[in-house]
Amino acid sequence: MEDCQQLPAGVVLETGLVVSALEGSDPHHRACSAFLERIVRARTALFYNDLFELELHERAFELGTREVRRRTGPPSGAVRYTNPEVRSLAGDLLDRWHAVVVRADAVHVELPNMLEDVRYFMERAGLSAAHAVQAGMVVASGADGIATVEDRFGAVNETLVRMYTPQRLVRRSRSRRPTARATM
Amino acid sequence: MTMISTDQHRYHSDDVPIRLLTAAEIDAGRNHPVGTPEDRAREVAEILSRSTFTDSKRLDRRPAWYL
Repeated sequence: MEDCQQLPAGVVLETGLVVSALEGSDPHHRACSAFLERIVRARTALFYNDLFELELHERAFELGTREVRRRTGPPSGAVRYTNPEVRSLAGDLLDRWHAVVVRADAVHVELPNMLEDVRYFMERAGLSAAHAVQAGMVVASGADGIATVEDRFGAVNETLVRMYTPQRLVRRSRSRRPTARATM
Repeated sequence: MTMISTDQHRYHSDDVPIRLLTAAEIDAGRNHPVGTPEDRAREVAEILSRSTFTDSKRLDRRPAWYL
């Protein structure tokens, strides 16, 4: 991803990559934020869907809860998503994502258009339902690949789903390739 | 009898039975950003350089949807 010379004309966004780009403390922040900036400049079509938005919402509240728990310390008891501080933090992350997406050549895809087909990736590559949806969207949309920090997409034949991932995740992702597993 | 549009037969291949999205489906979800790509990329870089979880002052802000 960092040394990608030929940027994709279209790419599917995976939730983890966007969270990494948005959150400075994330270990992949530098690579993911720089890549996102480059593909906005290159007018790459950024495909995302309803499931991506739901997952981002969930991650925002998880991170907000974790942060409030860290600040208040263990004796404060359970921190819930209804906590005003959690809602404020989650809302800030989501606001920043929306500020990014309105500046990008983004394409929102409605999932019902493709849901029935994605079982192919669950059956052939052993992906979870959520990952199969994102892999299916690469094929369905004609995107060049998926921008991700999730190495499990490596289990899909790369002629179908090319991965744009931080350099430090490349080896782990490649080890999941069907050919790599066959020779192990 | 159910009419099936031509688009519904457009699959990636016989081996990979994933229906391709139509141009109309893609265009329907397309965002049309304002400004030059260079300006937008610069703004995106600025947005991404901030961090939600390291600035305690943001705790006082309430998002638009907060009740």
